[in-house]
Amino acid sequence: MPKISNIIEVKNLTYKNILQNINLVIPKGKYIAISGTNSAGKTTLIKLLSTTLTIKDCIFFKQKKIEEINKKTIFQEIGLIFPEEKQKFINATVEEEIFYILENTNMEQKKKIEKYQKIIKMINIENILTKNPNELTHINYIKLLLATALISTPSILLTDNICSNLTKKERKELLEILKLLNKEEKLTIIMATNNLEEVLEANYLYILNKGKIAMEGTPLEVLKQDNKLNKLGLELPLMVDLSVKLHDYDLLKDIIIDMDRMVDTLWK
Amino acid sequence: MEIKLTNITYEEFKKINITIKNEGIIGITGEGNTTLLKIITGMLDNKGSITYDKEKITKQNKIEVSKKISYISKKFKNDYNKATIEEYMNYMIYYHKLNIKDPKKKIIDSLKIVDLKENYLERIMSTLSTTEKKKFQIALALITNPKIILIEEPFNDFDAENRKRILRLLTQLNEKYKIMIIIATTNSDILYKYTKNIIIIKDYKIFKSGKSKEIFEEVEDLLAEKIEIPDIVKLAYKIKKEKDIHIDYHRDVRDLMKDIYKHV
Repeated sequence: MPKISNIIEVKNLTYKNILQNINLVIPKGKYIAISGTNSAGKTTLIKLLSTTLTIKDCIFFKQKKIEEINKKTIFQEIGLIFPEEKQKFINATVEEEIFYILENTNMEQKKKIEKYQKIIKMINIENILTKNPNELTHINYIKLLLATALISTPSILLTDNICSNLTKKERKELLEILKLLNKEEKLTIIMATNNLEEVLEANYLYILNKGKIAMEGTPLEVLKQDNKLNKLGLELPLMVDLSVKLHDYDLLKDIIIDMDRMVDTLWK
Repeated sequence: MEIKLTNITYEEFKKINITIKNEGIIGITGEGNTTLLKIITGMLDNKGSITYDKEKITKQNKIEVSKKISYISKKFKNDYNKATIEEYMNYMIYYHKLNIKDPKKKIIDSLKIVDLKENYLERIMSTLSTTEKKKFQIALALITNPKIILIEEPFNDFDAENRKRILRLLTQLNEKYKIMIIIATTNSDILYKYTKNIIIIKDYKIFKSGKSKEIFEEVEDLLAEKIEIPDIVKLAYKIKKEKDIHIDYHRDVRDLMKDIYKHV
Protein backbone atom coordinates (compact mmCIF):
# COMPACT_ATOMS: atom_id res chain seq x y z
CA MET A 1 0.00 0.00 0.00
CA PRO A 2 1.45 3.37 -0.97
CA LYS A 3 1.62 5.75 1.91
CA ILE A 4 -0.67 8.74 1.54
CA SER A 5 1.40 11.84 2.07
CA ASN A 6 -0.04 14.38 4.42
CA ILE A 7 1.08 17.99 4.28
CA ILE A 8 0.00 18.68 7.81
CA GLU A 9 -0.90 16.49 10.75
CA VAL A 10 -2.13 17.89 14.01
CA LYS A 11 -1.97 15.61 17.02
CA ASN A 12 -3.73 16.28 20.31
CA LEU A 13 -3.35 20.02 20.05
CA THR A 14 -4.46 21.99 23.08
CA TYR A 15 -3.71 25.69 23.20
CA LYS A 16 -4.43 27.85 26.26
CA ASN A 17 -8.15 27.58 26.84
CA ILE A 18 -8.92 28.28 23.19
CA LEU A 19 -8.33 24.92 21.50
CA GLN A 20 -8.77 21.49 23.01
CA ASN A 21 -7.48 18.18 21.77
CA ILE A 22 -7.55 18.98 18.06
CA ASN A 23 -6.59 16.23 15.63
CA LEU A 24 -6.40 17.01 11.94
CA VAL A 25 -5.01 15.29 8.89
CA ILE A 26 -4.50 17.44 5.82
CA PRO A 27 -3.67 15.22 2.82
CA LYS A 28 -1.72 16.71 -0.06
CA GLY A 29 -3.83 18.41 -2.71
CA LYS A 30 -7.01 18.58 -0.65
CA TYR A 31 -9.25 21.57 -0.13
CA ILE A 32 -10.22 21.70 3.54
CA ALA A 33 -12.69 24.09 5.15
CA ILE A 34 -12.88 24.93 8.83
CA SER A 35 -16.01 26.63 10.07
CA GLY A 36 -17.63 27.52 13.36
CA THR A 37 -18.94 30.53 15.23
CA ASN A 38 -16.94 33.67 16.02
CA SER A 39 -15.07 32.47 19.07
CA ALA A 40 -14.79 28.81 18.10
CA GLY A 41 -11.00 28.97 17.70
CA LYS A 42 -10.64 29.08 13.90
CA THR A 43 -8.28 32.04 13.74
CA THR A 44 -6.10 30.67 16.53
CA LEU A 45 -5.86 27.36 14.69
CA ILE A 46 -4.85 29.09 11.43
CA LYS A 47 -2.27 31.14 13.35
CA LEU A 48 -0.81 28.00 14.91
CA LEU A 49 -0.69 26.18 11.56
CA SER A 50 1.11 29.14 9.99
CA THR A 51 3.49 29.43 13.00
CA THR A 52 2.24 32.98 13.67
CA LEU A 53 1.56 31.49 17.10
CA THR A 54 3.86 28.78 18.38
CA ILE A 55 3.27 25.47 20.07
CA LYS A 56 5.51 22.45 20.51
CA ASP A 57 5.14 18.78 19.59
CA CYS A 58 1.62 18.98 18.12
CA ILE A 59 1.87 20.14 14.54
CA PHE A 60 3.76 18.18 11.89
CA PHE A 61 4.55 19.74 8.54
CA LYS A 62 5.54 17.06 6.03
CA GLN A 63 6.23 14.71 8.94
CA LYS A 64 8.53 17.16 10.73
CA LYS A 65 7.74 19.11 13.87
CA ILE A 66 6.73 22.49 12.53
CA GLU A 67 8.57 24.44 15.25
CA GLU A 68 11.86 22.83 14.19
CA ILE A 69 11.68 23.89 10.55
CA ASN A 70 13.52 27.12 9.77
CA LYS A 71 11.43 30.27 9.35
CA LYS A 72 12.47 30.85 5.76
CA THR A 73 11.28 27.42 4.65
CA ILE A 74 8.00 27.90 6.49
CA PHE A 75 7.56 31.27 4.85
CA GLN A 76 8.05 29.73 1.39
CA GLU A 77 6.01 26.61 2.00
CA ILE A 78 3.00 28.08 3.78
CA GLY A 79 1.02 30.86 2.14
CA LEU A 80 -1.10 32.79 4.61
CA ILE A 81 -3.95 35.15 3.74
CA PHE A 82 -5.08 36.99 6.81
CA PRO A 83 -6.94 40.15 5.70
CA GLU A 84 -7.87 41.13 9.26
CA GLU A 85 -4.35 42.42 9.83
CA LYS A 86 -4.14 45.09 7.18
CA GLN A 87 -0.89 44.89 5.27
CA LYS A 88 0.99 47.92 3.94
CA PHE A 89 2.80 47.63 0.62
CA ILE A 90 6.00 49.51 -0.11
CA ASN A 91 5.88 49.84 -3.88
CA ALA A 92 4.05 52.36 -6.05
CA THR A 93 2.16 49.88 -8.20
CA VAL A 94 0.76 46.37 -7.94
CA GLU A 95 3.10 45.24 -10.71
CA GLU A 96 6.18 46.55 -8.88
CA GLU A 97 5.00 45.00 -5.64
CA ILE A 98 4.78 41.54 -7.21
CA PHE A 99 8.13 41.92 -9.00
CA TYR A 100 9.73 43.14 -5.80
CA ILE A 101 8.86 39.85 -4.12
CA LEU A 102 9.88 37.88 -7.22
CA GLU A 103 13.29 39.57 -7.13
CA ASN A 104 13.87 38.10 -3.69
CA THR A 105 13.54 34.55 -4.97
CA ASN A 106 16.30 32.41 -6.48
CA MET A 107 14.43 31.94 -9.76
CA GLU A 108 16.07 32.58 -13.11
CA GLN A 109 14.97 35.81 -14.79
CA LYS A 110 13.01 33.95 -17.46
CA LYS A 111 11.23 31.88 -14.83
CA LYS A 112 10.33 35.01 -12.87
CA ILE A 113 8.54 36.50 -15.82
CA GLU A 114 6.72 33.25 -16.54
CA LYS A 115 5.67 33.06 -12.90
CA TYR A 116 4.48 36.65 -12.95
CA GLN A 117 2.39 36.12 -16.09
CA LYS A 118 0.86 32.96 -14.69
CA ILE A 119 -0.06 34.50 -11.35
CA ILE A 120 -1.67 37.66 -12.69
CA LYS A 121 -3.73 35.55 -15.08
CA MET A 122 -4.85 33.02 -12.47
CA ILE A 123 -5.77 35.63 -9.88
CA ASN A 124 -7.27 37.84 -12.58
CA ILE A 125 -5.50 41.06 -11.64
CA GLU A 126 -4.35 42.14 -15.10
CA ASN A 127 -6.55 45.22 -14.86
CA ILE A 128 -5.08 46.58 -11.62
CA LEU A 129 -1.35 46.27 -12.29
CA THR A 130 -0.72 50.01 -12.53
CA LYS A 131 -2.74 50.83 -9.40
CA ASN A 132 -1.32 51.85 -6.04
CA PRO A 133 -1.37 48.68 -3.91
CA ASN A 134 -2.34 50.68 -0.83
CA GLU A 135 -5.43 52.15 -2.47
CA LEU A 136 -7.11 49.02 -3.77
CA THR A 137 -10.74 48.03 -3.31
CA HIS A 138 -11.16 45.27 -0.75
CA ILE A 139 -11.49 42.45 -3.30
CA ASN A 140 -8.38 43.61 -5.16
CA TYR A 141 -6.50 43.89 -1.88
CA ILE A 142 -7.31 40.25 -1.13
CA LYS A 143 -6.32 39.25 -4.65
CA LEU A 144 -2.98 40.99 -4.26
CA LEU A 145 -2.39 39.18 -0.96
CA LEU A 146 -3.17 35.97 -2.80
CA ALA A 147 -0.84 36.82 -5.71
CA THR A 148 2.08 37.63 -3.41
CA ALA A 149 1.49 34.48 -1.38
CA LEU A 150 1.76 32.33 -4.50
CA ILE A 151 5.14 33.63 -5.64
CA SER A 152 7.19 31.19 -3.57
CA THR A 153 5.06 28.28 -4.87
CA PRO A 154 3.84 27.25 -1.41
CA SER A 155 2.68 23.71 -0.83
CA ILE A 156 -0.24 24.88 1.26
CA LEU A 157 -2.41 27.97 1.42
CA LEU A 158 -4.12 29.02 4.66
CA THR A 159 -6.88 31.62 4.56
CA ASP A 160 -8.85 33.23 7.36
CA ASN A 161 -12.17 34.92 6.69
CA ILE A 162 -11.17 36.14 3.26
CA CYS A 163 -14.74 36.57 2.02
CA SER A 164 -16.18 38.76 4.75
CA ASN A 165 -16.72 42.31 3.49
CA LEU A 166 -17.15 41.18 -0.12
CA THR A 167 -20.28 41.35 -2.26
CA LYS A 168 -21.87 38.10 -3.43
CA LYS A 169 -20.35 38.50 -6.87
CA GLU A 170 -16.89 39.19 -5.49
CA ARG A 171 -17.15 36.28 -3.07
CA LYS A 172 -18.09 33.97 -5.91
CA GLU A 173 -15.12 35.13 -7.97
CA LEU A 174 -12.68 34.63 -5.10
CA LEU A 175 -14.02 31.16 -4.31
CA GLU A 176 -13.67 30.25 -8.00
CA ILE A 177 -10.01 31.28 -7.85
CA LEU A 178 -9.43 29.10 -4.78
CA LYS A 179 -11.10 26.19 -6.50
CA LEU A 180 -8.94 26.71 -9.58
CA LEU A 181 -5.75 26.87 -7.51
CA ASN A 182 -6.71 23.60 -5.89
CA LYS A 183 -7.79 21.80 -9.07
CA GLU A 184 -5.26 23.09 -11.58
CA GLU A 185 -2.26 23.86 -9.41
CA LYS A 186 -2.87 21.01 -6.96
CA LEU A 187 -2.46 23.51 -4.16
CA THR A 188 -3.54 22.24 -0.74
CA ILE A 189 -5.90 24.72 0.88
CA ILE A 190 -7.22 25.24 4.38
CA MET A 191 -9.83 27.96 4.53
CA ALA A 192 -11.44 29.20 7.73
CA THR A 193 -14.78 30.97 7.58
CA ASN A 194 -17.84 31.55 9.73
CA ASN A 195 -20.07 31.47 6.66
CA LEU A 196 -21.20 28.01 5.58
CA GLU A 197 -21.97 29.28 2.09
CA GLU A 198 -18.25 29.33 1.42
CA VAL A 199 -17.50 25.71 2.31
CA LEU A 200 -19.49 23.93 -0.38
CA GLU A 201 -16.56 23.39 -2.76
CA ALA A 202 -14.26 21.94 -0.13
CA ASN A 203 -13.36 18.23 -0.06
CA TYR A 204 -13.68 18.03 3.68
CA LEU A 205 -15.19 20.21 6.38
CA TYR A 206 -14.42 20.56 10.07
CA ILE A 207 -16.80 22.41 12.38
CA LEU A 208 -15.18 23.85 15.47
CA ASN A 209 -17.19 24.65 18.55
CA LYS A 210 -15.71 26.09 21.72
CA GLY A 211 -12.23 24.95 20.70
CA LYS A 212 -13.18 21.38 19.87
CA ILE A 213 -13.95 19.62 16.62
CA ALA A 214 -17.71 19.20 16.89
CA MET A 215 -18.45 17.78 13.44
CA GLU A 216 -16.51 16.63 10.39
CA GLY A 217 -17.08 15.05 7.00
CA THR A 218 -17.72 16.09 3.42
CA PRO A 219 -19.59 19.41 3.31
CA LEU A 220 -22.82 17.69 2.31
CA GLU A 221 -22.60 15.10 5.06
CA VAL A 222 -22.11 17.83 7.63
CA LEU A 223 -24.63 20.31 6.24
CA LYS A 224 -27.39 17.70 6.19
CA GLN A 225 -27.39 17.84 9.98
CA ASP A 226 -29.20 21.17 10.08
CA ASN A 227 -30.51 20.91 13.65
CA LYS A 228 -27.08 20.24 15.04
CA LEU A 229 -25.56 23.16 13.11
CA ASN A 230 -28.29 25.52 14.26
CA LYS A 231 -27.61 24.51 17.84
CA LEU A 232 -23.98 25.42 17.30
CA GLY A 233 -25.06 28.91 16.18
CA LEU A 234 -24.48 28.41 12.48
CA GLU A 235 -26.88 29.16 9.68
CA LEU A 236 -27.27 26.95 6.63
CA PRO A 237 -26.89 28.54 3.20
CA LEU A 238 -30.33 29.15 1.68
CA MET A 239 -30.14 26.43 -0.98
CA VAL A 240 -28.81 23.81 1.44
CA ASP A 241 -31.40 24.78 4.03
CA LEU A 242 -34.19 24.52 1.50
CA SER A 243 -32.86 21.22 0.14
CA VAL A 244 -32.75 19.67 3.61
CA LYS A 245 -36.30 20.82 4.34
CA LEU A 246 -37.60 19.61 0.96
CA HIS A 247 -35.82 16.32 1.58
CA ASP A 248 -37.70 15.94 4.88
CA TYR A 249 -40.93 16.27 2.90
CA ASP A 250 -39.73 13.69 0.34
CA LEU A 251 -39.64 16.27 -2.41
CA LEU A 252 -35.91 16.06 -3.03
CA LYS A 253 -33.44 13.20 -2.85
CA ASP A 254 -30.22 15.16 -2.68
CA ILE A 255 -28.94 18.52 -1.68
CA ILE A 256 -29.02 20.82 -4.68
CA ILE A 257 -27.03 24.01 -4.48
CA ASP A 258 -27.64 25.33 -7.95
CA MET A 259 -30.89 27.30 -8.20
CA ASP A 260 -31.68 26.39 -11.80
CA ARG A 261 -31.13 22.73 -11.13
CA MET A 262 -33.37 22.84 -8.07
CA VAL A 263 -36.20 24.45 -10.01
CA ASP A 264 -35.83 21.88 -12.81
CA THR A 265 -35.72 18.98 -10.39
CA LEU A 266 -38.84 20.07 -8.52
CA TRP A 267 -40.90 20.69 -11.63
CA LYS A 268 -39.62 18.25 -14.25
CA MET B 1 -36.36 62.17 13.95
CA GLU B 2 -36.30 62.94 10.29
CA ILE B 3 -33.27 63.63 8.12
CA LYS B 4 -33.62 65.73 5.03
CA LEU B 5 -30.92 66.04 2.40
CA THR B 6 -31.47 68.83 -0.14
CA ASN B 7 -29.39 69.26 -3.29
CA ILE B 8 -26.43 67.48 -1.78
CA THR B 9 -23.38 67.47 -4.01
CA TYR B 10 -20.24 65.67 -2.86
CA GLU B 11 -17.62 63.95 -5.01
CA GLU B 12 -19.56 61.76 -7.49
CA PHE B 13 -22.89 62.51 -5.82
CA LYS B 14 -24.77 65.30 -7.59
CA LYS B 15 -27.88 67.05 -6.28
CA ILE B 16 -29.17 64.33 -4.00
CA ASN B 17 -32.59 64.90 -2.47
CA ILE B 18 -34.07 62.53 0.03
CA THR B 19 -36.01 62.51 3.27
CA ILE B 20 -35.32 59.68 5.69
CA LYS B 21 -37.86 58.92 8.40
CA ASN B 22 -37.18 57.01 11.58
CA GLU B 23 -39.01 53.78 10.87
CA GLY B 24 -37.37 50.46 11.71
CA ILE B 25 -33.80 49.71 10.73
CA ILE B 26 -32.88 51.57 7.58
CA GLY B 27 -30.43 50.22 5.02
CA ILE B 28 -28.32 51.94 2.39
CA THR B 29 -26.84 49.85 -0.41
CA GLY B 30 -25.14 50.22 -3.79
CA GLU B 31 -21.80 51.69 -4.78
CA GLY B 32 -21.18 54.78 -2.67
CA ASN B 33 -23.26 53.57 0.29
CA THR B 34 -20.57 54.43 2.83
CA THR B 35 -20.05 57.88 1.33
CA LEU B 36 -23.77 58.62 1.59
CA LEU B 37 -23.68 57.41 5.18
CA LYS B 38 -20.82 59.81 5.87
CA ILE B 39 -22.67 62.66 4.16
CA ILE B 40 -25.54 62.10 6.61
CA THR B 41 -23.16 62.77 9.52
CA GLY B 42 -23.05 66.38 8.32
CA MET B 43 -19.30 66.43 8.82
CA LEU B 44 -18.29 66.33 5.15
CA ASP B 45 -17.65 69.41 3.15
CA ASN B 46 -20.60 69.00 0.81
CA LYS B 47 -22.79 71.42 -1.08
CA GLY B 48 -26.52 71.55 -0.34
CA SER B 49 -28.24 71.37 3.01
CA ILE B 50 -28.83 68.75 5.67
CA THR B 51 -31.51 69.11 8.33
CA TYR B 52 -32.26 66.93 11.33
CA ASP B 53 -35.81 67.45 12.54
CA LYS B 54 -35.96 70.78 10.70
CA GLU B 55 -32.73 71.95 12.34
CA LYS B 56 -30.36 72.89 9.57
CA ILE B 57 -26.65 72.23 9.94
CA THR B 58 -24.54 75.34 9.64
CA LYS B 59 -20.86 76.01 10.17
CA GLN B 60 -21.75 77.48 13.57
CA ASN B 61 -23.82 74.63 14.99
CA LYS B 62 -21.92 71.77 13.28
CA ILE B 63 -19.99 70.60 16.34
CA GLU B 64 -23.02 70.78 18.62
CA VAL B 65 -25.27 68.96 16.16
CA SER B 66 -22.64 66.31 15.53
CA LYS B 67 -23.11 65.06 19.07
CA LYS B 68 -26.56 63.86 18.09
CA ILE B 69 -25.01 61.55 15.53
CA SER B 70 -22.74 58.61 16.12
CA TYR B 71 -20.83 56.92 13.33
CA ILE B 72 -19.59 53.36 13.71
CA SER B 73 -16.99 52.34 11.17
CA LYS B 74 -16.48 48.86 9.81
CA LYS B 75 -13.12 48.33 11.40
CA PHE B 76 -12.30 48.97 14.98
CA LYS B 77 -9.42 51.43 15.20
CA ASN B 78 -6.32 50.01 16.83
CA ASP B 79 -4.86 53.32 18.00
CA TYR B 80 -5.57 52.88 21.68
CA ASN B 81 -5.27 49.15 21.89
CA LYS B 82 -3.53 49.15 25.25
CA ALA B 83 -6.14 51.32 26.97
CA THR B 84 -8.90 49.82 29.07
CA ILE B 85 -12.51 50.27 28.06
CA GLU B 86 -13.05 52.75 30.87
CA GLU B 87 -9.97 54.81 29.98
CA TYR B 88 -10.96 55.00 26.36
CA MET B 89 -14.56 55.95 27.09
CA ASN B 90 -13.39 58.62 29.51
CA TYR B 91 -11.11 59.94 26.83
CA MET B 92 -14.04 60.19 24.41
CA ILE B 93 -16.07 62.12 26.99
CA TYR B 94 -13.14 64.51 27.35
CA TYR B 95 -12.58 64.69 23.58
CA HIS B 96 -16.20 65.59 22.83
CA LYS B 97 -16.23 67.98 25.82
CA LEU B 98 -19.36 66.24 27.04
CA ASN B 99 -20.95 67.66 30.11
CA ILE B 100 -21.69 64.53 32.09
CA LYS B 101 -22.28 64.63 35.83
CA ASP B 102 -21.26 61.11 36.65
CA PRO B 103 -19.05 59.80 33.80
CA LYS B 104 -18.48 56.41 35.41
CA LYS B 105 -22.21 55.80 35.72
CA LYS B 106 -22.74 56.90 32.13
CA ILE B 107 -20.05 54.49 30.96
CA ILE B 108 -21.52 51.61 32.94
CA ASP B 109 -25.01 52.40 31.65
CA SER B 110 -23.83 52.46 28.04
CA LEU B 111 -22.04 49.16 28.46
CA LYS B 112 -25.12 47.68 30.10
CA ILE B 113 -27.29 48.50 27.09
CA VAL B 114 -25.00 46.47 24.83
CA ASP B 115 -24.91 43.67 27.38
CA LEU B 116 -21.32 44.17 28.56
CA LYS B 117 -21.11 43.85 32.33
CA GLU B 118 -19.27 46.10 34.76
CA ASN B 119 -16.17 43.87 34.82
CA TYR B 120 -15.51 44.99 31.24
CA LEU B 121 -14.43 48.42 32.53
CA GLU B 122 -10.95 47.06 33.25
CA ARG B 123 -10.61 45.07 30.03
CA ILE B 124 -7.79 46.05 27.69
CA MET B 125 -9.31 46.81 24.31
CA SER B 126 -6.94 44.57 22.32
CA THR B 127 -8.20 41.53 24.25
CA LEU B 128 -11.80 41.92 23.09
CA SER B 129 -13.30 39.37 20.69
CA THR B 130 -14.87 40.46 17.40
CA THR B 131 -18.38 40.52 18.87
CA GLU B 132 -17.25 42.32 22.01
CA LYS B 133 -15.50 44.93 19.88
CA LYS B 134 -18.65 45.61 17.89
CA LYS B 135 -20.70 45.85 21.09
CA PHE B 136 -18.10 48.18 22.57
CA GLN B 137 -18.21 50.35 19.45
CA ILE B 138 -21.97 50.65 19.93
CA ALA B 139 -21.59 51.43 23.65
CA LEU B 140 -19.08 54.12 22.74
CA ALA B 141 -21.53 55.53 20.22
CA LEU B 142 -24.16 55.75 22.97
CA ILE B 143 -22.02 57.96 25.22
CA THR B 144 -23.16 61.15 23.49
CA ASN B 145 -26.86 60.21 23.75
CA PRO B 146 -27.19 60.21 19.97
CA LYS B 147 -30.47 60.53 18.10
CA ILE B 148 -28.97 58.81 15.08
CA ILE B 149 -26.52 55.93 14.82
CA LEU B 150 -24.92 55.24 11.46
CA ILE B 151 -23.16 51.90 11.00
CA GLU B 152 -21.00 50.53 8.20
CA GLU B 153 -21.42 46.80 7.48
CA PRO B 154 -22.48 45.85 11.02
CA PHE B 155 -22.87 42.13 10.39
CA ASN B 156 -20.03 41.12 8.10
CA ASP B 157 -17.65 39.51 10.53
CA PHE B 158 -20.29 37.61 12.44
CA ASP B 159 -21.78 34.16 12.48
CA ALA B 160 -25.56 33.74 12.44
CA GLU B 161 -25.95 33.72 16.21
CA ASN B 162 -23.94 36.88 16.78
CA ARG B 163 -25.58 38.59 13.81
CA LYS B 164 -28.93 38.01 15.49
CA ARG B 165 -27.54 39.35 18.76
CA ILE B 166 -26.28 42.58 17.15
CA LEU B 167 -29.56 42.90 15.27
CA ARG B 168 -31.61 42.51 18.44
CA LEU B 169 -29.50 45.20 20.03
CA LEU B 170 -30.01 47.62 17.13
CA THR B 171 -33.74 46.89 17.07
CA GLN B 172 -33.93 47.60 20.78
CA LEU B 173 -32.08 50.90 20.38
CA ASN B 174 -34.55 51.84 17.70
CA GLU B 175 -37.74 50.71 19.41
CA LYS B 176 -37.00 51.42 23.05
CA TYR B 177 -34.69 54.42 22.83
CA LYS B 178 -36.12 55.78 19.54
CA ILE B 179 -32.65 56.11 18.09
CA MET B 180 -32.61 56.19 14.31
CA ILE B 181 -30.49 53.32 13.00
CA ILE B 182 -29.05 53.46 9.50
CA ILE B 183 -26.80 50.69 8.22
CA ALA B 184 -24.73 50.63 5.03
CA THR B 185 -24.18 47.19 3.56
CA THR B 186 -23.78 45.48 0.21
CA ASN B 187 -25.47 42.29 1.41
CA SER B 188 -28.97 42.13 -0.09
CA ASP B 189 -29.92 38.99 1.89
CA ILE B 190 -29.41 40.87 5.14
CA LEU B 191 -31.18 43.99 3.91
CA TYR B 192 -34.20 42.02 2.77
CA LYS B 193 -34.45 40.01 5.95
CA TYR B 194 -33.66 42.61 8.58
CA THR B 195 -34.37 46.17 7.40
CA LYS B 196 -37.71 47.88 7.13
CA ASN B 197 -36.70 50.61 4.70
CA ILE B 198 -33.89 50.88 2.18
CA ILE B 199 -32.18 53.32 -0.10
CA ILE B 200 -30.54 51.86 -3.21
CA ILE B 201 -27.86 53.92 -4.89
CA LYS B 202 -27.05 53.39 -8.56
CA ASP B 203 -24.58 55.54 -10.48
CA TYR B 204 -24.43 57.86 -7.46
CA LYS B 205 -28.12 58.66 -7.66
CA ILE B 206 -30.97 57.47 -5.48
CA PHE B 207 -32.32 54.63 -7.60
CA LYS B 208 -35.06 53.53 -5.22
CA SER B 209 -36.05 54.25 -1.67
CA GLY B 210 -38.89 52.89 0.45
CA LYS B 211 -40.01 49.62 2.00
CA SER B 212 -37.29 46.95 1.68
CA LYS B 213 -39.76 44.17 1.05
CA GLU B 214 -41.52 45.98 -1.78
CA ILE B 215 -38.34 47.26 -3.41
CA PHE B 216 -36.51 43.94 -3.45
CA GLU B 217 -39.56 42.31 -4.99
CA GLU B 218 -39.40 44.60 -8.02
CA VAL B 219 -37.02 42.01 -9.45
CA GLU B 220 -37.08 43.08 -13.09
CA ASP B 221 -36.20 46.69 -12.27
CA LEU B 222 -33.29 45.49 -10.16
CA LEU B 223 -32.10 43.00 -12.77
CA ALA B 224 -32.11 45.71 -15.43
CA GLU B 225 -29.75 47.79 -13.29
CA LYS B 226 -27.64 44.78 -12.21
CA ILE B 227 -28.53 45.28 -8.56
CA GLU B 228 -27.91 42.36 -6.22
CA ILE B 229 -31.13 40.48 -5.46
CA PRO B 230 -31.65 38.47 -2.24
CA ASP B 231 -31.27 34.74 -2.98
CA ILE B 232 -34.64 33.94 -1.46
CA VAL B 233 -36.35 36.40 -3.80
CA LYS B 234 -34.34 35.23 -6.80
CA LEU B 235 -35.48 31.64 -6.31
CA ALA B 236 -39.17 32.53 -6.13
CA TYR B 237 -38.72 34.73 -9.20
CA LYS B 238 -37.04 31.91 -11.14
CA ILE B 239 -39.88 29.51 -10.33
CA LYS B 240 -42.41 32.00 -11.58
CA LYS B 241 -40.43 32.90 -14.67
CA GLU B 242 -39.32 29.45 -15.77
CA LYS B 243 -42.17 27.22 -14.61
CA ASP B 244 -45.00 29.73 -14.62
CA ILE B 245 -45.87 28.82 -11.04
CA HIS B 246 -46.75 31.59 -8.64
CA ILE B 247 -44.72 31.40 -5.45
CA ASP B 248 -45.04 34.34 -3.08
CA TYR B 249 -41.98 36.20 -1.90
CA HIS B 250 -41.06 35.27 1.66
CA ARG B 251 -38.49 36.56 4.10
CA ASP B 252 -38.29 33.24 5.91
CA VAL B 253 -37.15 30.04 4.25
CA ARG B 254 -39.77 27.97 6.11
CA ASP B 255 -42.56 30.00 4.52
CA LEU B 256 -40.98 29.63 1.10
CA MET B 257 -40.71 25.90 1.68
CA LYS B 258 -44.42 25.62 2.58
CA ASP B 259 -45.34 27.54 -0.52
CA ILE B 260 -43.19 25.29 -2.72
CA TYR B 261 -44.75 22.23 -1.06
CA LYS B 262 -48.21 23.41 -2.08
CA HIS B 263 -47.20 23.71 -5.70
CA VAL B 264 -45.02 20.69 -6.42
